[in-house]
Amino acid sequence: MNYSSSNSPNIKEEHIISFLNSAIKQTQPSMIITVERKGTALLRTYIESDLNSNKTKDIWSRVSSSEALRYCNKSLLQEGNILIVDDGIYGGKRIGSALDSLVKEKKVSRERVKIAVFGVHERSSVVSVDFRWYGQLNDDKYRKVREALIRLFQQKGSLLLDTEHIEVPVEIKCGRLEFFDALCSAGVGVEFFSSGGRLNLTIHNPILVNDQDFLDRLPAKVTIRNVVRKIRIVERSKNRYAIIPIFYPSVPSNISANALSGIDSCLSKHADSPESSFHLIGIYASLHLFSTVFACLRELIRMGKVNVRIPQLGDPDDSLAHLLALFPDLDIERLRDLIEQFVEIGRKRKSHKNKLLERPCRIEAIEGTRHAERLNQLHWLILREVERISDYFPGSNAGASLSELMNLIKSEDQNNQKIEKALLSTALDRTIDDADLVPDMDRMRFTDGITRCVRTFRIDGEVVLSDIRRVVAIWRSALPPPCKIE
Amino acid sequence: MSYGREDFMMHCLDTCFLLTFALRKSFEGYRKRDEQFVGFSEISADKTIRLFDKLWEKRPDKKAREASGRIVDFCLKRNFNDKHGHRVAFPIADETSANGKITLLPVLKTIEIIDKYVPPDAKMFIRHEEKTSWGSVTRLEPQVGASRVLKLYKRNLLDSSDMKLLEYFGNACACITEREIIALGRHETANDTMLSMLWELDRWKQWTEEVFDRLDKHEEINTSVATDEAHRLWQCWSFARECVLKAAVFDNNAFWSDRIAYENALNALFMPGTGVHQDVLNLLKGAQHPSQEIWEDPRVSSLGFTAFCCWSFVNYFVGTLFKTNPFQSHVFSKRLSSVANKDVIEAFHRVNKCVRVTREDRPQQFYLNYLHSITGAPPNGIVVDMDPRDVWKGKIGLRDFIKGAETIANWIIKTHVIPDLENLRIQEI
Repeated sequence: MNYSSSNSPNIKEEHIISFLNSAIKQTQPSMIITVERKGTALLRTYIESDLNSNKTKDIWSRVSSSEALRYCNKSLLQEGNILIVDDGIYGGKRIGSALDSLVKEKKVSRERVKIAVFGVHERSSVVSVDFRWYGQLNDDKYRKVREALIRLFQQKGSLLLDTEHIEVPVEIKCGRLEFFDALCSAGVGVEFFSSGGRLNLTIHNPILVNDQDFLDRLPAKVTIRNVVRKIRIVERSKNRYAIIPIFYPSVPSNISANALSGIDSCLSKHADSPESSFHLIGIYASLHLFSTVFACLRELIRMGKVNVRIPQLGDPDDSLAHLLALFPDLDIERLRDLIEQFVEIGRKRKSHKNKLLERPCRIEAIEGTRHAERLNQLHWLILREVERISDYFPGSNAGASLSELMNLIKSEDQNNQKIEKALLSTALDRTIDDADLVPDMDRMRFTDGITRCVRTFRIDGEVVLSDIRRVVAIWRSALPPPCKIE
Repeated sequence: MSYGREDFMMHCLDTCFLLTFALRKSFEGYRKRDEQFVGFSEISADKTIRLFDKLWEKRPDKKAREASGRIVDFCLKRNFNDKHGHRVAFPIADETSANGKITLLPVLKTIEIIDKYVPPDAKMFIRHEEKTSWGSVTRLEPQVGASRVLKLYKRNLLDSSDMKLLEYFGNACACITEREIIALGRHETANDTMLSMLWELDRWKQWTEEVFDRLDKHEEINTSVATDEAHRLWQCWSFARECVLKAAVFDNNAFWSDRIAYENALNALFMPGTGVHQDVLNLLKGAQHPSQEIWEDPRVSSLGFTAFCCWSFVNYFVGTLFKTNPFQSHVFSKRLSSVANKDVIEAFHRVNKCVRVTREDRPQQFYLNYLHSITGAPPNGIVVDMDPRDVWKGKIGLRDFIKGAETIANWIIKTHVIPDLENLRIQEI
């Protein structure tokens, strides 16, 4: 969501570094708890800015996401200080919940827990904050600080994506269009600029080049129909991109831990609940999409026009260590090997065995184009629909599924439908990048009678919810959606 | 209008004046019939507003009226769900609560807040407190007359046809009782009634799970526990009651059946000679579906048994507890004073029947005499054998009674309530 840019604070990366440096130096934490997702993004900004690469794995091995507190290494909680990190505090529900988890469930004494929050609202009184960069923020300033932080994360390249996403960096030595067109042979791709000014490409429902092997290894009753399946390509700097596959099959809610025996043990051994199985299968499914990506880039790589290097653990551009925040015992080295395997499968796959599209379809949704207008409209239609579903249906706190959002596409023309669905998928990316929506998970019943864990999208916090409700109360379908909120 | 906060708050204030004026017109009609009429209960005021909003939205020529700057839609959430059920609410333009999370504020609450800060001659309601045996009830006397709405007229937000409709609406409401307005305000289509009932069931489920979770933590059920939990027990009872009223499974009278009240309302309004203006009748036809279309729709009728099950359970469980020490002397037990001992015992027998009905066997349309057809042992092994009389005589301890009741509640939730909720959002495979 775009807020009025007048008097926005000029938040720089060095502010975040200084803020967290101070908190970490003074606390000397044995463990850092990041409140998903912006807390994790804040810490990631701090870690990735430090070129002293030895620190990277060391810090991440001491980090737990608030979503994964129950898995965290108990020995790290037994002594020393614990630092909770978040971007902002208003009602205090999320930090309060993390604190409760530590103090009441893990029996950590309150004195050992320190709280670092970048922006503190003037009315926040639920928990006492030990470190802050901005304090006593009124409503307007709180929003602006939040917005400025989100911009910073976007400028650094969509750091608000889920903590469990895997990225592979690539460097291109060809034109951007040549690179994008090659990738669009995996599926319809939408090119757009993020709100942070970074170029993005989202490929909707990419083909699985190795589909039989993938499907054979999936546990029974897992479905890949009508699920989130995409490849995001995010510009990090000039000619450098991160390739981020995202794929969340829907998983039976009564799945047992040993049902994941078909997938690599470095992932399957961490399955101890349907929720963890959902995320682990999501990681596994994403790995398969790397084969698709590198099958698409095979020729460009062969010609030296695209370089791919999967970072080693501890490299400055290490893109795996952050997974330790969610799965503290994950074998990162083995995961890295797996990524290499899937990349190689793709690179070596002969073109006649591929099912890639002969004529890639890339849609430009850059400002000024007709697709950009439709993208903006879909952005608001999605927010309105998520708000409606959250209010309309009892027990729908986790938001809307992709399948429900796809009902917004009314076109009956097949070709137009494909484009519309790709645009909707991209608009969804934008709502997440803008921190309007946040991914979640819900248990939902399917037409085959099975209840499954499904990827959903819900509104990210009270501030955003209030604004969406205000707009939706006035915006009726005949009127154009707003561009800015004042 | 813009989406800016200042404009939005002004729009909300204008809406408050308009809606209170509509209530005022109804109030004047009621006063003509009954000089003793003090004012509306909060629920009937809320449902009157909801009904008015529905009719206003159905008015023709919206685009033309909007183009000329008129108010065509109110910036309301018609179905705000909180612990009081469905209410009409404004999205708040800015966070005002120190407790954080409110993003919708009921219209009546918004007016109450405004009234706190304005001088007496500018208040929108006079609030009368009526004492009852189980507490006090607020009655609202609207204070917004045509002169206060005039400024909206002068700003061109309303024209004379809008003003006339407000008056016609008020006159129409005066033809029906508060109970009938509540039914008409609550229901309009089968889909909305189904959702409304599911909301009540979800709320009932949440409160029931919470109360058992909390009661389980106590070895002894003493005065302190009663003080802490009586309110929650009453909420369980209250939401089951709301659901069963909406399900209209009791067809004896309008008090117990939203359907009967709804039909009575429409019959009264459409009866020749009542003087209800044709404009209002036309809008009603567009906004309110016939009662058969609502209550005989399988989406609604299939929930009747679940509603009845929950209702029987709460009368059995809460009814038994509230007639024992230490709950008996608690103020919340007085809210169940209408539930006699015989009602609790009857509920016990009904629950005994209900637990024999699997999800597959539950009727598409539930009637009370269905109970006579239920025979055989419960297929699920649930035993309902703790007679309330034995609890009252002290033959069964409260801890054991609560334990047994929890098993029944869990069965109702798992067998009927959760699948009904899950069926709302079936995903395509």
